[in-house]
Amino acid sequence: MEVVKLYWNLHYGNKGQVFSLDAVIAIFLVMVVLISAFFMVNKENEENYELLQQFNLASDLFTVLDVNGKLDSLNKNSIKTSVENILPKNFDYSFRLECENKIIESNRSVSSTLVKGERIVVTNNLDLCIVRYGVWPK
Amino acid sequence: MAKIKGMFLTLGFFIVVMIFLGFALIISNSFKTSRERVSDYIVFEKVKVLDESTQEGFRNIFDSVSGITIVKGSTVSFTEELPNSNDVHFKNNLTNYNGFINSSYNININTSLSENLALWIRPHDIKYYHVDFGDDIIRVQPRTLNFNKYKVDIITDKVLDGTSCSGISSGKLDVTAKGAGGTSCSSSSIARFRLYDNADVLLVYVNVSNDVLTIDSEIKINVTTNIVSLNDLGKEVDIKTDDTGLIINFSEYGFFKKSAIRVV
Repeated sequence: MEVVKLYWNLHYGNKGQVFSLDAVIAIFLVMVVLISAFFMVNKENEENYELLQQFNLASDLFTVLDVNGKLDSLNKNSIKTSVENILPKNFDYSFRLECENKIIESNRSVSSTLVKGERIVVTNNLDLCIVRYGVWPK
Repeated sequence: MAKIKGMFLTLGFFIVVMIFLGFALIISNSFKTSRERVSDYIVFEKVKVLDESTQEGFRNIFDSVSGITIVKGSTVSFTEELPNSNDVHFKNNLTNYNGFINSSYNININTSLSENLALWIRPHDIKYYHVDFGDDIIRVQPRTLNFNKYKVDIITDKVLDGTSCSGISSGKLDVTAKGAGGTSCSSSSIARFRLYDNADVLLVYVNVSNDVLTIDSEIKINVTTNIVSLNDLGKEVDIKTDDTGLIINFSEYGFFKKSAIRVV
């Protein structure tokens, strides 16, 4: 027993081991906290970037359609085809075109989308409309 | 000694707990700030899209109804009939458009734009306008002379002859006129110009005084006003309305914007 005590240098108690163990646990805990923090911050940023991406994608999509006169027909199927030709396949969409005398709506309601955009549209026949839209991942 | 060690241990735990709390606070704040920034960005972008689309709509109305064709480059050209018979149609469409936007958003298009339909060549600060849109006078008024000369091209259905073009004094004005049956005449480097038909009836009067160009037509003509060889001011040439063309007021987000509308 004396030999073992001497071997472990426990003549003055086991303070060194406790402090070492304490340091290792502390480092471990700090690492856990740091990793969790980075993970959570990244996750939050990812969600935000997704929202921004969806918003920008939808805005760009309907700007392109408007500027190229693809909304001028005021025809639901024609607009849907134009949207589907541009929008990446892994995204779904909805829109509602509210004109003075006519409302055109895609199958899904715009209110179900998380981030909505809207723009004013004047067609080549000078119909005045507001298009509300949104896109989201399928 | 044992008491001191215990105190150090307690202090150690306290510091570790504080670090945890600190991290938790940082993460919590980061969440909040990040979400707020994203919301702010989306609101900014929404207003920007509405601003741009309102201007795009104005351009569509202008292109369809104003009867004015604009070509821009180092020389800027405005072509229209004088007097411009589209005045009432344009004014009505602009008023209707403003009412439509107003019914949904706090966005106002200054409908008084259509009174003289002033168009500014920026950044050169040259104003092309009508004394009264629909009337028979066009003026071009530069703040400074930052172009080479004016060139006015007139097309009329009257017959012209060898004495139709009458240019007076020397100046920075060139005029060409085309009449019925392939008749034409021209004058260059003048300051004042009169166009007569073959029966000596005055058709058009063009004058440059203090660098201001005035075109006054007695009959219906097609006129192209060229502002030739604009100085290179290092910026792209834009044609815009007055600076009060568009007013956006989203007080709920603290936005207020008064700006010109880019026409070309």
